[in-house]
Amino acid sequence: MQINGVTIEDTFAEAFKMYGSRVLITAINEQWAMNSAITVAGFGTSVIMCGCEAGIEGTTTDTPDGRPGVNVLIFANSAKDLGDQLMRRIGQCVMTSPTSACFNNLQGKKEFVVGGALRFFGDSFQISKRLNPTPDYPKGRRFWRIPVMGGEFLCEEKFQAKKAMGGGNFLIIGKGIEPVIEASERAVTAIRKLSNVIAPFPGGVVRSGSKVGSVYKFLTASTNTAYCPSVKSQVQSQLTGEENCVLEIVIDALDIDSMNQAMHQGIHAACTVEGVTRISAGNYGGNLGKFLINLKEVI
Amino acid sequence: MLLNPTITTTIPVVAECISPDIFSGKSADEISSLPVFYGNKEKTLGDFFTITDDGKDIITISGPVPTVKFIGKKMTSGTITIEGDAGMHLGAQMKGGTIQVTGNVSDWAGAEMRGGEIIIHGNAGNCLGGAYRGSKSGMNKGLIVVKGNTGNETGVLMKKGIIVVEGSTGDLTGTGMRGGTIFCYGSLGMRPGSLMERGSIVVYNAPSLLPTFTQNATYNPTWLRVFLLDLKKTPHSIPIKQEHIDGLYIRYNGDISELGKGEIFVFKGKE
Repeated sequence: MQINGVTIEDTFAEAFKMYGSRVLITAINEQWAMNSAITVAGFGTSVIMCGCEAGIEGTTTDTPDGRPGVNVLIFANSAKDLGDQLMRRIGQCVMTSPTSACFNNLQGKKEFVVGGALRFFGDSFQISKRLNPTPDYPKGRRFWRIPVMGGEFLCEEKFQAKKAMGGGNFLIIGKGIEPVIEASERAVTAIRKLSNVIAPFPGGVVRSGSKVGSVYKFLTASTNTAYCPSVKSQVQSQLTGEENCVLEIVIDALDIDSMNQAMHQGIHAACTVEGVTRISAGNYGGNLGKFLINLKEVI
Repeated sequence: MLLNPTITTTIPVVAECISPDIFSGKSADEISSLPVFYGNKEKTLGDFFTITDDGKDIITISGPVPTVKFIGKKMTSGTITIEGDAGMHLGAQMKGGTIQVTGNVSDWAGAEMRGGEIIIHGNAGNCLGGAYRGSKSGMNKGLIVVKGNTGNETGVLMKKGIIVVEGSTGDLTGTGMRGGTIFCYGSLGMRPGSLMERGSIVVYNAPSLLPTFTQNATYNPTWLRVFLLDLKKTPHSIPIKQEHIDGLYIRYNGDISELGKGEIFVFKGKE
């Protein structure tokens, strides 16, 4: 199958189960909300070393306090890990950010106490306020007001999480870095227009895809040599002679429909660049992930 | 169910049975025979109301009942509409549902309520949303909106929930508060927040405060923005202006003769 002359490999991406939360950060203006959101999502590329995968979902004016807001999606392998990361990141990246407030913006079955733990920073001067119950919040939303030097930090007591998925991906293979990075940028731009998904790597793109195992016994994963053009004659390469660059788009999503939509939009956008030869995907033979996303089905 | 008052009396009628929970599943005749107290005499509801099944899910009292007490007591769901005045203890200890009153209500409306909404288009009496004497906490969740004025001790010993008074409140507003929030768009009477331990009183006209309240910052509190926008979403036409959301408030804490963690926010507007 081809799109604009770009071959779509008959393969699949292998996504796996994660837990996801949506954190809404508001501030006096969008710039300050974004400052905090960028920091929250920082160093959140991969669960392998970062503890979570995080990214900015988008800006919004539909916020509980009527101020500009930015939604950040955070994913982790377990509910426990996610709760731990929410606590760390909201505590260090939102509470510290001038004028910010932080709200749960997702309905899910898992709950983590965040504001209810951060409140102790208030050194007994913290104050709880609770809205009346609603169908979404049968006990009423509870907030903590923590006095800080810039005024008050308002943080929701509990944040919720739902089962989500990570590791959706596709590889953009081309003749050189220029067309492949251009295609990657177009793909990420298309994906970032969607809700419920993030591309957590720098600029939404990862260049250092990995394979399971290594010649070194102390490593469980190492560079994906089959797609490394600089050693393609030294390994069992998946690249042809004219292919000199591969970049990967990794996607985390709150649900499978959003994941499929992101894969669809991203692949189609990537295939609009001349010099892109193939679209493939990373998988582990179906042994790692629960969700197999067949490229030919999503396009 | 339509209840049409048939007599006027100055003697109190204790009618705890006027509740959606109790009316549910009963015919008009069965409801007519529900017991009430008329002074110290036991009567039936049918002695005071003509009861008609109008096929609606709500209870409508189609006239003033200023001496009928405890309407909607402990109700958990449903709607009661009173076209006129209502007596004491309206919605006392209610847990859910809605009570609408087009006229005035007497003392102890919403006393110790645990949820639900009471909307009063006229004035309310004393101890609105308060705690009964000897009790530790008054209103504990729920919303009361009063379009007119309220009497003394509004929200006495209130613990949670929200009271909105679009007019003025009497003396000792929020006395002994443990939590919750009172909004007053008119003026507060004497000694607001006396003995309050926690909770918030928000007022849009400068009050006369006790010396046991101390001034803190002038700022735009984010939590107030959240609460005001939440109230604005209700269908009760609360007169919240954008300047109330964006404006500055002076925060006083007190009563420092007690815990001192209560607060009174006085609207200042723009700098």
